Amino acid sequence: MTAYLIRRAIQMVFIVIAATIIIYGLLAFAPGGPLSGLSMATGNNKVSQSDIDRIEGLMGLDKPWYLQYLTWLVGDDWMANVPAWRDAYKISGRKGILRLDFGASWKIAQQQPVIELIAERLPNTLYLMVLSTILALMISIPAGIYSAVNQYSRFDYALTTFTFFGISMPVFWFGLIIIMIFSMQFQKAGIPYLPSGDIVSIRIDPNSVLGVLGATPNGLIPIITIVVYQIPSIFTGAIVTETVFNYKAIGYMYIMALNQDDWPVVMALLFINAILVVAATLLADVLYTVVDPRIRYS
Amino acid sequence: MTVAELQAEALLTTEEESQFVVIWRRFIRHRMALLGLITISILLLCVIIGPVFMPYDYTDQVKGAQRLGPFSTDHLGGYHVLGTDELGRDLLTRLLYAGRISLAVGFAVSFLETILGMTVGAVSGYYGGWTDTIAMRIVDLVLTIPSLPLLLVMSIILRNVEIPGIPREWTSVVVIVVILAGLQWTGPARLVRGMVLSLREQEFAEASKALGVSDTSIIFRHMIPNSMAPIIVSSTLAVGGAIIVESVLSFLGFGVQLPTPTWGNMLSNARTDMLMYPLLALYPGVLIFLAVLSFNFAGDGLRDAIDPRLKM
Repeated sequence: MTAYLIRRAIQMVFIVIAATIIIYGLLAFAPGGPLSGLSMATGNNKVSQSDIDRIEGLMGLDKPWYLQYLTWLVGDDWMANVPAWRDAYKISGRKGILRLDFGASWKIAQQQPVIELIAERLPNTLYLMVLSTILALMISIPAGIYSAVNQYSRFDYALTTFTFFGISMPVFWFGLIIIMIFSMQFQKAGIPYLPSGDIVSIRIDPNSVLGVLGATPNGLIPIITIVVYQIPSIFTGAIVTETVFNYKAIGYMYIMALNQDDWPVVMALLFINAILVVAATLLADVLYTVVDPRIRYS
Repeated sequence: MTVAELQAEALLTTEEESQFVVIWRRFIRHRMALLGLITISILLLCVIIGPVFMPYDYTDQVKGAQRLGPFSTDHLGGYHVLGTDELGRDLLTRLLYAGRISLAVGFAVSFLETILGMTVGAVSGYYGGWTDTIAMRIVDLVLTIPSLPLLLVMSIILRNVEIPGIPREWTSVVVIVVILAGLQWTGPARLVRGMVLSLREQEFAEASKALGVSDTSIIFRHMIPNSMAPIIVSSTLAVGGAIIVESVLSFLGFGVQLPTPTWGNMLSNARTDMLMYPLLALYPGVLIFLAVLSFNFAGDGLRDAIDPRLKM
């Protein structure tokens, strides 16, 4: 098990790094980019080329993309020791995300540290996600168990059909309808979001429910899957719901940052999200072995 | 021919035909699946030939006839069954055109991801070893990258790309199809790999090899046709999935860009004054819901019909 955990941890590091390289590379090669607005303004002589160069230097955009990425990941203070780089580029002295320097926002909240922005919005996000997950489980577990015990009953069929309606319903449309019905009365309260696929997965088969009743917790496996995989969505899962309800939490901030090319914010959120995804996968796999000792990893 | 031979042949031919008949019979017994299939057929018929009968184009604007209610006639004498939108465009015409795009995106994504996933899965399952390891690690990587944030990043990056030979208003459609297929081929890949892993151990595969049949031929003539049943089911469900993801992206403003209408961006557009004109938001939403629900029911029925033991 220890060997397995170590191997998984190493794999996780590689996957997260690979994912961030891919995304940073894509951002860097995208047409447009954070300075496109400024470049357009030069035509009217409002911003001179030297201003743009200065801002580029401040943002670290004078470096080639792989050095920008390295700056983001491990900082650029060490680059001062490489003469070629020290002479060619501005060294900002940043420490990089691995040394917990998340950088400062470029656009959505000028110069404010990204870590502060996240901390400001985290309580809102946690409140929404925890509440909605608990609510979803409180409805779906009893419904699922009842339906499994009374298989092929009218309730079972009704629930299965309802589940299909749930997966097929666009979350945002459902949200819009709710808003229409309640005429925005609940908007400020923040309607909890129901991850619409949950009831399906918790519709446990009769054997495992009997298992639960018989105190061997096999039926816990799908529940573990759902709850644990819900963890990463703390950061991004409610993007759609937050947008529909104008709920100012992390998902909403992500959309704003993306729309305005605020890379430090986008990259920080994606980085945290990627870590949470791989960690949740590992956590789920480990919990499976706890719940069901027959599951072994070599 | 002797009577016995004739009978044997008759048995064989009925066997051949009944495969489809049996599947069809099981399928129509699943009432919701049949209903889904009928709905899909009607929707397809409407969006393909419907616009031909409409007297308007989806960009035609009637000035002074904004947001007319259903069954109304504008001051130029034009009749609008469902009314008009905020620019005075006929709503039914736009819904039909948007349906063309939305359904086309759904089918295109499903087709592309299935072809890609099937090929990767079959090759990786058949050859095993290093090929398999590398392919499956790539699958893991794609699965690990959080999909919605990545979709958003990709579509904002590719938003301004110009693709030679494709009209400007179609680029966002092509980009969305490629991105969605590029992220969702992992499902069919795992499915087919699993099937091929067991198929390649069977005698007929060994026999083909012994007869000197090439690997490509074994993969494409034996492995893939033999894993067709689950592929058909997964690609049916994938159409619905792609329609819903496209609508989410368009809703957030990262999907197919206006003026090309899709149900998703029509819904997004209607959002601004939804409380005053709820019908504008209702129509595209109902159509998305209806289409996705139909594909999900049809896929479910198909799964039960093709192989009742099949679990995915």
